[in-house]
Amino acid sequence: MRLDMAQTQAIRLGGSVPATLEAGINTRHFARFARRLYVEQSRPYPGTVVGLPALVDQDAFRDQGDEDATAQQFEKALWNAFDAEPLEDGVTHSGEQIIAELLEETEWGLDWLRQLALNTAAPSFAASMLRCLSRANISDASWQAHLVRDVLAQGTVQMRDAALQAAEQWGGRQLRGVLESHLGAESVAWLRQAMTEIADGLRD
Amino acid sequence: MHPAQIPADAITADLRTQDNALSFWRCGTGEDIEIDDAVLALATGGNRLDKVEVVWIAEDGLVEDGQRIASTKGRTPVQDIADRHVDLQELNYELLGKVAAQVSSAIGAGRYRRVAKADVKRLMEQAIGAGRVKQTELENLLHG
Repeated sequence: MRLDMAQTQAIRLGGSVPATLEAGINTRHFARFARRLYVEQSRPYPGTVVGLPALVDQDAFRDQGDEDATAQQFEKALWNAFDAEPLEDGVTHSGEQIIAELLEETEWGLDWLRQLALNTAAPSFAASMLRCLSRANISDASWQAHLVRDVLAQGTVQMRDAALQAAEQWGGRQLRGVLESHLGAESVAWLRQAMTEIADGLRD
Repeated sequence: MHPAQIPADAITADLRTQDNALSFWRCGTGEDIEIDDAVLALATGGNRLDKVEVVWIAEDGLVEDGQRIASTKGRTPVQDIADRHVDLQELNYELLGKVAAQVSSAIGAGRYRRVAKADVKRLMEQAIGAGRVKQTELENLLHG
């Protein structure tokens, strides 16, 4: 008797090996190392990591009146969130609320998140962040298309996969155009195939 | 890293265990309709509608690897598939490595599928239409 099983959280696609390869242990460790340095050099994080509202100590950063300090707070909170729990399809993630808070509290949040999503020095974080960001209620289709296009053009395989997922999540004609125009430049076969399928799906 | 090697991220993120167990859904002989049911089970067990990516592997191979397979109640409102859920239990470092190797081989053999969000939604709507699950039970997924 032969029984097959579908696995709940499998390694992503045949191309996931080169995808993760490109992300690279060294690169990721470098990013983590850089973050450790960053954390050690900045002041102690005032929030208590229990419950989402406490992830970002809003009073602390309001008093500082400093965009950089606020950005650091949010970046730490996001790193902590992704370290604590990987982002999974079909499951809400604490990073969503952190991003929602950032967008609600600041006018520069979108631009700053865009920089994080394009950070090739920390591709795992950038990819998780972009996937999380794509769950946020962002109505600016041009901004979405611009970000997805730039990540597809500049990102690692892992980041490009995240951009593809963001395009699927946000949907719309502009993003379909972005995917179709990038198809010829995409070198990874499984990503190209997924891109074709998602672009087709966005025609509906 | 050589392409044949299994990245550590794949173990720590994609094969994340709880209580030393890993969740699987049985899908018969891997026919499309059976994979669809596994996708439906996975998708309805979540709390938001997203794409689903699955890999299917032969149970025989797991048995040969010495895995302990136990039927457990699946977390899905689709009752006619809830009993297809199994856990690989008492996993340790070595046994989890063997699972990773099985998954890697399955991917290499093309036994994987990426189901787009729109198709996942379609599967849910079909299940509602067929009376397999109440619409109210998937309301938050379909309209959340």
